[in-house]
Amino acid sequence: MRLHPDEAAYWSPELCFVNVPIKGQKRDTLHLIDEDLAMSYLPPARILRFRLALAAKPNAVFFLCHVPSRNQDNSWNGSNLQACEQAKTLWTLVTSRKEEGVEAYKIDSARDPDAFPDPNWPTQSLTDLISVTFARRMIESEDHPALLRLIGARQSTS
Amino acid sequence: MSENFGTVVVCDFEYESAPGELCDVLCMVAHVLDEHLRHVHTVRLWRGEFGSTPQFDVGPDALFVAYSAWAEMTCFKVLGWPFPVHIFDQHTAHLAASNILLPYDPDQVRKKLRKRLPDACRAYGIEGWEKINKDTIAEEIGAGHWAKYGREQVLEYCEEDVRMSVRLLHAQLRGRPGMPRADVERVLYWSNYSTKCIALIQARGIPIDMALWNLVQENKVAVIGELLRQFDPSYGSDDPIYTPEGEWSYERFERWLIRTGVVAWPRLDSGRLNIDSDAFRLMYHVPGIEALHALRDSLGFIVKARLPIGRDGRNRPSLFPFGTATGRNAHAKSPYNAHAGMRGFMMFPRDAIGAYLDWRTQEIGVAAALSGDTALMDAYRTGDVYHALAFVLGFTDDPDPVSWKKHDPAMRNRMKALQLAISYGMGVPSLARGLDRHPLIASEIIERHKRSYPRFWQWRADMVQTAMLKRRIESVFGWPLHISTSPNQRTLYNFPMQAGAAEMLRLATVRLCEAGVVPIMLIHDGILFEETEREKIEHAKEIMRQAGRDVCDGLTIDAEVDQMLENGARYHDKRPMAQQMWQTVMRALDAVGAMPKRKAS
Repeated sequence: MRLHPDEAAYWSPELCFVNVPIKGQKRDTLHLIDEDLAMSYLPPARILRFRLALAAKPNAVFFLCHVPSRNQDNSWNGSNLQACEQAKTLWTLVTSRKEEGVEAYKIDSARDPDAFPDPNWPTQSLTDLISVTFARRMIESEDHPALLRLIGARQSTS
Repeated sequence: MSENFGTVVVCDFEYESAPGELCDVLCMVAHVLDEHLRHVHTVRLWRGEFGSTPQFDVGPDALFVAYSAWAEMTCFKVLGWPFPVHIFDQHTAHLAASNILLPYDPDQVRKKLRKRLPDACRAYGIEGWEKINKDTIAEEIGAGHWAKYGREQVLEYCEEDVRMSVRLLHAQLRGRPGMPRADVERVLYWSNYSTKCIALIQARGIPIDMALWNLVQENKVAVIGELLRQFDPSYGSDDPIYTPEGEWSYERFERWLIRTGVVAWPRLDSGRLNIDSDAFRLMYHVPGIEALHALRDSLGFIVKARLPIGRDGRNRPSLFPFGTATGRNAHAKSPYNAHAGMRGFMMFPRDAIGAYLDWRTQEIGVAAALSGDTALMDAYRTGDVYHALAFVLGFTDDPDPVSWKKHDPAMRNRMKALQLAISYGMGVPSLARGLDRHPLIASEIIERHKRSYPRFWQWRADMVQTAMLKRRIESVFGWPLHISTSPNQRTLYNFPMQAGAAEMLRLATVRLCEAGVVPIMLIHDGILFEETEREKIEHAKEIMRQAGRDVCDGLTIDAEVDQMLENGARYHDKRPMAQQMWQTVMRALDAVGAMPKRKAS
């Protein structure tokens, strides 16, 4: 992966997230949540906090990478952050070392730095990209279906 | 079979045919067999020798056998021969034996297997036609170029088909691994529809306003241009979805979706955009999509102009009975294979009554009846199952279906899509996309539907489980679908409803033909008629209702008049998009001065 080198424009500040279980979907769905709403309605342990950075895979597949913003002394978070920094300039592969009994990520860079062309980064703003990616998954009001689900309130189908 | 019939006649015709025309019979060969299927004698007839009745028994003691026997029945009709009482259509038997749901693999593009006589023979390990280039001869005879072969060679070609049909008949009655033995009783029942009825219906044809059709063809460029201007939401941009010639591009459509911010278009498991009609319908809430769908379904009709129309101005489409896995017809090349707006090309003679009758929300009625879900049956009986659905799902608190239908037509359309989606097992993510709602709302809707109609959900789960165990699923009256490993479960969910609806259409059609009310077109849940007496239309309606009751174990599936066209009236679909489409075509003709000037009164 590569991360956008312009951290000011394409790395977000720390944001709040929450996983929401949805019946009929195999995995919980990650939602972006307004911090005030999160603090008011959710137990702190349920709230996830990290940064989002625009990232790319070699075949021009773009995604938002989760960049740790807390507990950077933790070896997982520390190695993750190190990989993100490296990926600003180099094609970087990150793999878990858990099977070796090591609590950290292994960070590799492409053998030839020019093996893949530099990403042709999208020109939309990070805010626009986050809005599209988290369409319908941004909890910004008290009546958002995901928040209603988390606090056990009745859903309205209308 | 041999115990029931004293004579078995295996027969084939050769004929000349032009698109939209009835066939011009050239020759016929029949092998007359005894009750043990032993050859007794051969009948070979050439043009001019046919007479007014067949030279073999077609009464109740005889069985007539042919491959795609609707074509033979068309020849019978042209010759004025009486139809055989019992017909074993080998094509229908082969479709039943080879109707298999293959393992679900969204990445594999499967070519539909051909099922002509040689293909059926090969499926049973029968080889033949070694010395004959069958495709070329068939094509040349059809086009009237048979003279180069001469009478004897054409008769020999025809007889080779008969010899192969006899061998195929033996094989179909025996069966082989992977090809179950033909269920004769059922094949006879199905053949009544797939041969005699189909021949009668295709022979009648749909009346087309030829003057207008030709006008549109002559001014195609202007019409296409106007349609694009009106219905292509990307028209006028630097990267339009359609070329000015009316050619669609997948890539340009994908780019348009990105440009307009439509991120949630349904995709196939392969990752490609799903561009079938259901996907478009699901996305009608996106501005421009309904118009684009209408455009897609209309342009092909006008640009390709593949409508087979005879010299009598009648469109004679191929009905292809049992052409789909659920046993529905796979009709092609008719105004019903295009957007509803294109049905305006149908215009009935002044002395005829054109009537289009359809069953009310047919598939939901079938689902209610087959599942035995009393709540769903009650909802169906209210007359507007979509209102009932909206009410239980919390989309409306208006208890009156009539006022709801009047005041919220958009919601009603959304309920149609929703009911279809739920019936066919659509998952939460797709349903959320289609409703343009959060997945939790989609999930909640499914849960409420489950609570409202629990018997339906249980029946559907049981039905799929039984099908997977038996590796076979059947319609109400026995049309089979064989199942391989790992089929697409949604196809199984879908099967009883569509197959039941197809049974209803077949049953009604057979009864209508027996009553002398021969339809001019069959369209899944509707039937098009051209009659001279209103009483016959009323009679047809009653026959359709009764067929609904018979398939649905007594639940009345009402048949309603959608169109009643008298005094030379033109067919106009009532839906707003269809009307807009038709008006655009007329406006384009008007703009280029192609429309005849009206006389000032």
